[in-house]
Amino acid sequence: MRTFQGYVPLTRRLLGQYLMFALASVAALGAGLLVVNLTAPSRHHDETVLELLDQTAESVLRDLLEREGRNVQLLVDRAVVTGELHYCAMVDADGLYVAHSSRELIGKPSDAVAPAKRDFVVERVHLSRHESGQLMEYSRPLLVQGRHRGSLLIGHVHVPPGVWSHALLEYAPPAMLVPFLFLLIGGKVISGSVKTNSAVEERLAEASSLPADSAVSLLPVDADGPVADGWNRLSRHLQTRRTESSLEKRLESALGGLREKRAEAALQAIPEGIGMTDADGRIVYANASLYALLGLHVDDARERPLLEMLPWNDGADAAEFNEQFQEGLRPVVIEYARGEVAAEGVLRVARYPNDTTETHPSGHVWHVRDVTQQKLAEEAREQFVYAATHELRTPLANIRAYAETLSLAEFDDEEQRKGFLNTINTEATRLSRFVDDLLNISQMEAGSMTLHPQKTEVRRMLVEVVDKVRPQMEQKSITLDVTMPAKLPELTIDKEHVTASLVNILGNAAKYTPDGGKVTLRVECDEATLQMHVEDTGYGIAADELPKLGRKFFRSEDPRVRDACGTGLGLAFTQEVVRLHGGRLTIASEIDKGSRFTISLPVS
Amino acid sequence: MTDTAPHVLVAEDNLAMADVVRFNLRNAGFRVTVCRNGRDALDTLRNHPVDLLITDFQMPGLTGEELCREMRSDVRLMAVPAILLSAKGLELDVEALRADLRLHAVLSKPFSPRELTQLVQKTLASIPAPASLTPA
Repeated sequence: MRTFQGYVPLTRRLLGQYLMFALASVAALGAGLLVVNLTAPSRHHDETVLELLDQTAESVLRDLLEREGRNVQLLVDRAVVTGELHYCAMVDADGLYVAHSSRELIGKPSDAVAPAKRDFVVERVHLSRHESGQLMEYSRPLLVQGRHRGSLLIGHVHVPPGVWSHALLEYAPPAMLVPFLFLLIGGKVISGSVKTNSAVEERLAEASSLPADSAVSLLPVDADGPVADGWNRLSRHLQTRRTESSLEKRLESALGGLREKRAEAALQAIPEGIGMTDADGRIVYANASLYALLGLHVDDARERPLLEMLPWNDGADAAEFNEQFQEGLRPVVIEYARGEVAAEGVLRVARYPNDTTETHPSGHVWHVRDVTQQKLAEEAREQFVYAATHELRTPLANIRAYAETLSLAEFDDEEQRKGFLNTINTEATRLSRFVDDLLNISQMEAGSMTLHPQKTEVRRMLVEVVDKVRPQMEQKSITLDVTMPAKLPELTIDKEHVTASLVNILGNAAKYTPDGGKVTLRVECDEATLQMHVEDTGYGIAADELPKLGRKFFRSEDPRVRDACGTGLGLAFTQEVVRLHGGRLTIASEIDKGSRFTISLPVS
Repeated sequence: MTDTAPHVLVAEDNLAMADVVRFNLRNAGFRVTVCRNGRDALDTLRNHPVDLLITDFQMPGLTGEELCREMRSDVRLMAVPAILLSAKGLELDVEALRADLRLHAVLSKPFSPRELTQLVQKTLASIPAPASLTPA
C-alpha cells in the first residue's frame, strides 16, 4: 500500500504556490523596471550629444591653432543651434568662460565645471532637473599641443518625446518575459496540482446531475497522488458493493418470488376459500376456491365490496346476515345454507379483522369453507341417534305395555294371553338384535371389527335367519319364499356377523316392501361360491342412490323409505362383513319394482 | 260395550302397540278403531264420529303432528281431544307441541297402558256429552 507522507492539503498548497510565483513575478518585474530605468536615458544621450561635443571640440581646437580662437564664440553658437542644446560654452584653464551661448556669462567664472583632470575624457559633469526635462551637462577637455587650454561644455535638456515608452519597448520585453515565464510555470504547476482534484470534482458533478433515484456510479480518475488513489479505491469499493448488492437483490427477488409462488400455489390448491379485502371491503386478494364457493366472477368481483356479493344477498335474510358484519373489529362467522336441506350446500363464511390494533381495521381476511359434508354428517348422526332412540323405545314400549296388561287384565282367552307373551318375546328379540347391531356398528365405527370364524352349517344358519325375520314379514303380511339346495356346505365364517348381515338385508326387504308384498330368499351354491339372493317387490332404489347405499348413515331421500325407521348403518355393516369374508355384496334395483341384494361368499 | 260407548280412534303403525292399546281400551268399555297410518286416521275422523284421538307421533303417510294439525284446522274436528304417543326423546318440545296442537297429553314411550286408559277416561269426563255434539 502506498503511503503519502508530508502531504499538503490543496488549499494550503495552492495558496503557497500562488504566493510564491506572485512574489517571484513581482520581484522579476521590479528588477527589470529598475534596469530599464537606470540604463535607458543615459545611453541614449551618449550617442547623439557626445558626437556633437566631439565635432565642436575638433572645430574649436582647429580655430585655437589657426585663428587664435577668434571664431570660438561662433562655433559655440552654431553647436547650440545644430544640437538644439540648452547651452554650449568654453572655459579656459582658469575656469572663466571665454565663450558661451549666453553672452552675459563670458568672462565670468564657471561654478559648475571643475577643471578636467584627464585629457579627452568626456564627463557628464552636471545633472539637474530642468522644467521640461533633465538637464545634462557634458564637458570635454581641450588640449592644444599637449597644453590644457580649457574645456568645452554643453548642456542639453533630454526630453525627447516617448523616450520612456521607447526605452520600455526596447528593454521591457526581455524584462517582462521573466515574470511571465514565472507565471506560466506557476500556472502549469498549479494546474498540475489541482488536476486530480478537478477530475474528482468532475466525477462528483456527474454524479450530482444524475436523477435522484438512479444508482450513483463513480468512475475512477486517471491520476496519481493520495486523492486519486483514495478516489479510485472508493470507486472500486462502490462498484463492488453495487455488484454485490445487485446480485443480492436478484438472489433475494428470485428466492422471494419462489417463496411467494409456493405460497400462492398452496393457497390456490386448497379447497377452502381465502381472501383479503381492503378498508372499503373490496377484494385485494382471493384464491380460486373463494371465487368458486361464492359463485363470483374474477372480473366483476373487484367492482363492489365483497359483502354485497355474498350469496345470501339474493335471499330474504340478507339484512339479518349483513347486520352481523357491521362491526368490523370482531371476527364474524356465519353458516349459510343455500337451500332448505343441507345437501343443497352449506357455507361457513368467516371474516377476521386484519389489524386489531387500530380502531378501524385496515382490511379483513375472509375464510369460506363448504361445510355441506360436515353438515350432512351431523344430520346423519342426529338421524342415527333419533333412529336408535326410536328403535330402542318401540320394542321397550311394547314389552312394558304387554307385561303390564298381562299382569293386570283378566284373560278369558288363553290363546290371547299366549299371543301377548309371544309378542313380548318377539319384541325382546328385536331389542336384543338391535343391541347387537349397535355393538357391531360401534366396532365398525372404530375400525376394529374382527371376525371370529367358526365351522358353520350354512343350511342351519339360514333356517335361523328365516325364523328371525319371519315375524317382521308376517306383521306386514309379506310372503317369504325360501329356495335353497338340499345340500349346503359347511363354511368357516363368523356366523354371528353373517347372520346379522342376512337379517339386515331381509329386514330391509320387509321394511321397504308394501304390505302384502313378496320377499324371496334364493340360495345357490357351486364349488367356488355361495350366493344368497334376497329379492323383494318393494319400493326399489333410485339409480343415483345405488352407489351411496353402503355409506354409513346414508338414508334414501325416498319419503316411503324415510317413513320407516332405520339407522343407515345396516347395509354399511353388511358390506363390511361380506368384504372381511372375501365376498361381495351386489345390488340391483328398479324403482317401484323391487330390489335384489346378493351376498357372495367364497366356499374354499 | 255398546254403540253409545265413547269412540276412541287409535292411529298407530306398530301393530303390537295398537293391539295392546285396543285391548286395554275395550276392556275399559270404549269403542276402539285402529288406523295404521295418518291418512286413514284423518279419513276416519272426517267420516265417523270420534270422541277422542290417540295418535303415534311417527307414522308413514301423515305423521301424528300433521294429523293433529289437519284436525285442528277442520272446524268439525277442532274440539276432538287428542293424546299423542311419542317414542322421541329430548328433541321434542312437548310443551310447545301441546299448546300448539291443543293436545290433552303427550305420553312418552314406553308408557303404562293403565295410565293411558285412565287419561282417556279423565279427558272424556271433563268434556260434557262429547258424542252427542259430533255430527252423525
